[in-house]
Amino acid sequence: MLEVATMSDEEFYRYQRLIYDTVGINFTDNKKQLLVSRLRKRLDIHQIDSFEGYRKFVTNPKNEAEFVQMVNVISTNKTDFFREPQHFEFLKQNVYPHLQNKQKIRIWSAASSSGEELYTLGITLLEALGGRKNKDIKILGTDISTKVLEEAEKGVYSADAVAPVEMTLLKKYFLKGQNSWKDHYLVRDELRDLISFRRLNLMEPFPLTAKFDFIFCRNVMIYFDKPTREALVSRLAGQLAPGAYLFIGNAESLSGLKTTLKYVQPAIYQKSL
Amino acid sequence: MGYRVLVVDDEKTIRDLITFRLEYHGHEVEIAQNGEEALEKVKVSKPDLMVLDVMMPGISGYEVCRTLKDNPETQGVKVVLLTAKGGAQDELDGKEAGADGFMSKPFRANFLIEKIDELMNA
Repeated sequence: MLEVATMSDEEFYRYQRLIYDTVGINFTDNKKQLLVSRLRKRLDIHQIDSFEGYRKFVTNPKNEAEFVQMVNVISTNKTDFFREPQHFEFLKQNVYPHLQNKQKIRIWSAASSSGEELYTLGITLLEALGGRKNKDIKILGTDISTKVLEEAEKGVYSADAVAPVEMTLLKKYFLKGQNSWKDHYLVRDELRDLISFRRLNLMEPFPLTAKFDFIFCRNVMIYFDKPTREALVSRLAGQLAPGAYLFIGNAESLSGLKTTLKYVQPAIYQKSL
Repeated sequence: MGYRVLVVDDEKTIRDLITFRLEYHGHEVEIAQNGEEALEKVKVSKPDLMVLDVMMPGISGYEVCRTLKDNPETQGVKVVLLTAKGGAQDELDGKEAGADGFMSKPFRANFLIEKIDELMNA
């Protein structure tokens, strides 16, 4: 059997630097074990017996595909349908009523992970509008991890995963699996049609021309340090239409950051008109 | 009514989505991950129809189709080829290989379901 590789503190600092510089995630010292356990899978797959060896392998420009895989394992972010429900309540009360009168609707879920947030946005929007009504609606989902993007695009969820979705909505927006797909649900085309997917690194300039009616960027900034957060929030603000909202995670805050966005309520900020 | 369908694609996501839809509509599904496996399975399970990806490593979808149609025992199996987007040439090659129907990727699952009903009722 292969000996289990261990990571020296020095090696950890090199990874810290590499990951911070390329994807902006700050693996603080207390997260060393988390990083080690996540990377081990990649070492096993390539039968590389040291973290130093893997770092050299993954930073070789020839192995860019492996770099993407590394990002996939270190950036995993858990998400649920209707997570942080007060945000969807806020949308229903304060945002969706205004979108009734708009023909073109643009929404961005900036760290969409495996898609639960995206589809929750689609469901709540369609419910509020009473259907698509021939509107030009695009909900963009982006993530740095190709693995979770694929899952999101596939749109198949276990019965456990869809438990937070009300029965009437579940029936309306999902197909219930049969036989080998028993206990699984697939998003219906009416919902899927609203959504597009794209890999995007929040640390790099956004290749986006749209101004969004609102942006969800929840539970991402906890991984970033202050200067990175500040820069990100400013670029997100640049993608918002006047009066549009930015939603961040309830555990996050923009307090102490320089920003033009106005505080509305915890985790919700607005661009001035 | 349900048919017995063999779904052949090297991409798991596509296999899963097609399988989900076919089972939802009451069809019985078996899967193969490549052309070799498809040719093995078709002999044993004798499906009514095969949903067959064109672009696969190893034996291509065309070749699988041709092999099927050249064999009296299997030539009755209907074949829907999954071609690349805008693949007019793919369709010509597919017709030559004896395919009964085509879907160009990406396609709406409902169209595949309709296509299957159409071919089986022809």
